[in-house]
Amino acid sequence: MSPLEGNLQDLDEKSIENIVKFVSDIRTGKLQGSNKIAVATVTLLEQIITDASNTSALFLVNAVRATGRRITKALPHELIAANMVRRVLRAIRDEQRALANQSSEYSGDSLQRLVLAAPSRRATLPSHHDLREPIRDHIAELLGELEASTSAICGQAKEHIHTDELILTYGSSNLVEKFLKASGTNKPKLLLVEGPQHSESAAMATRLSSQGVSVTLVNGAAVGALMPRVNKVVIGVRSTLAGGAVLGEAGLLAVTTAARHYSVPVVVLSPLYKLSPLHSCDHTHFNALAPPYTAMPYMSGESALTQVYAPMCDFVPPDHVTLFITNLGGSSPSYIYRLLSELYDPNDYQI
Amino acid sequence: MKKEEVQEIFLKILREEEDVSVGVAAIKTLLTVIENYKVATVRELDLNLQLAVDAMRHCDQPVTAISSGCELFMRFITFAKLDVKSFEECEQIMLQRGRIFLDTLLEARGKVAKQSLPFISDGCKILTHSRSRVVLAAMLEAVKANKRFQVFVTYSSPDNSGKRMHKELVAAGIEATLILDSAVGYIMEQVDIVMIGAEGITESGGIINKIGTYCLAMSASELKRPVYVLTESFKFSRIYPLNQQDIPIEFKYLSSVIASGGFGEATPFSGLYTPCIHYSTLYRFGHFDTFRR
Repeated sequence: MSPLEGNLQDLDEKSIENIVKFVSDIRTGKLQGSNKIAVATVTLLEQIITDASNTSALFLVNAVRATGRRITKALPHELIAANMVRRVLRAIRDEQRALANQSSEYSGDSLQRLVLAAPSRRATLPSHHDLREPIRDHIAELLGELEASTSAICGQAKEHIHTDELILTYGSSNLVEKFLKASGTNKPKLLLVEGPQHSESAAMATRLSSQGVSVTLVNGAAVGALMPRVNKVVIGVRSTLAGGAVLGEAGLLAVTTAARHYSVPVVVLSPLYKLSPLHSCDHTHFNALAPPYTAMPYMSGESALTQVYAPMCDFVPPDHVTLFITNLGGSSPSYIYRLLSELYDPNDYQI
Repeated sequence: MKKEEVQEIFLKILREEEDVSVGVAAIKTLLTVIENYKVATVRELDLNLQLAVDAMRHCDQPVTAISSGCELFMRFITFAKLDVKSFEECEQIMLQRGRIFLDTLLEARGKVAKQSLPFISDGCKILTHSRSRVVLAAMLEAVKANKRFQVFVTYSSPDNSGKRMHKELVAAGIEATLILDSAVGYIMEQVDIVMIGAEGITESGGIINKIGTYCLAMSASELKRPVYVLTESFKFSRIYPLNQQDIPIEFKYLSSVIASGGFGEATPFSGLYTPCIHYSTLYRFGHFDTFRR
């Protein structure tokens, strides 16, 4: 089942309708927030698996993959949806292997396996097995993980945020907000640097200060001047990439560059569902442009005369990141490849 | 079994099969040894193989890949637990495993080439050093995928192997330019990525490659150009050199140079590319997985 091999069978109409609805929900902004998108993707895939006319592993893999391709084609920037497709594909493959009595730890080849287990690499299955029931268990487990991921990350807050530390964060992020609140009695002082969405950053600052966290809202231009005093930079990201690089809100690179210059540790909060096996060379994902009003309001006189570009994301190289906090704990950027091979099957890196 | 016979088999494989790397040829030779020289005990076989490995190390070929390939072969094929009754059965199992191993290794280069495809972006300029079969394979794959790119190849003295690489690239319709080894620093600002092969990977994550690689990598690191190392996984060696002096002499010089005792003055054939260079983008396109460092 090579990823690029031929065309996949087409989905039935009901599934296509579900996918179209999912895509339009995201596009129109009805569905927002990475966690919600992840849950919605898994639920969509569960529906498609339940409705599948054939229950063989091959058929299910193809159906899920076809769904994944449609979603990635429609929403190339939603890396999380593609990640969830990969997770479900992995679950199907694990089930298939369990049925064929192969080691479930298999993920890619190692030199040792290459010699000892090579002949059984591709086992054919009796097609009458209904795989849906065990796959549904896997999916329920995955949904449980998605639900618990925020609290799992926030549970580690006290290990990383200590009393009276000066923490800097960039833009607004639900996860960072909860993480800081979870530091509880440690009471950090927070420097919140305004991201492209000024109002959201301000709203986050208000919410945090009403919870008793001392917050100072600063302009992005002040980062360089303030960085020497900062103890730690804590940020949320859009996506974590294969080499340990990070895709974050536009403007993030300036913050991490300043942090690196002053040797301030950068802690990235990244739940596992944000881990994408994409490599940093794939620039199509990084050149997405946001509506330009964030950079220059439509009402301003200049906007009639100028062309304004407002990039959506910033690419932060792995050497700017000190630590990733995932729901499994902290790991360094050089360990990300290992997490990836635990989460996904190498055959699914390209959907 | 005589040393000369093994060397003959080994060199014949290298002569006849242009495209095969030294490490794979060494493994092929070991398989031939198991097949052709009938012995009655495992101990005898083991001695035979050790003799063969030793013979191949004195063939005037780069030793790094030979030693890592043979070590893997010995580790996974002959040291594996065998609970069978007769020695013949045991020999058959070894041969079968050996062939599976060899087949997988032969597929490796193609897999690496495929995996490195996304790293060659349309319109990019690539700098490469000397001649590497896997880098060549990756570039040919990229041409097949209709990517346009420009390659700079170093002459790579003393054997000027870059000339051959250049010829092969041009024959494939790739825009390639030969540059002097000393022009690496000059050309670096123009290139987007550096793509090189390796003779061996050390345990510390460094690579052992043709002399001049270290200089190239330092200059790439200074100008912050990503360095990609393309390598098959049988090239992983169990050595941990601390500096250039610490690399075993037989890895650095051809056996004829060592025999003549002249390696004090001669330029080493391979140099260590120490691991401190460009960690952030030093990837291994293993033939199965992509690892960082």
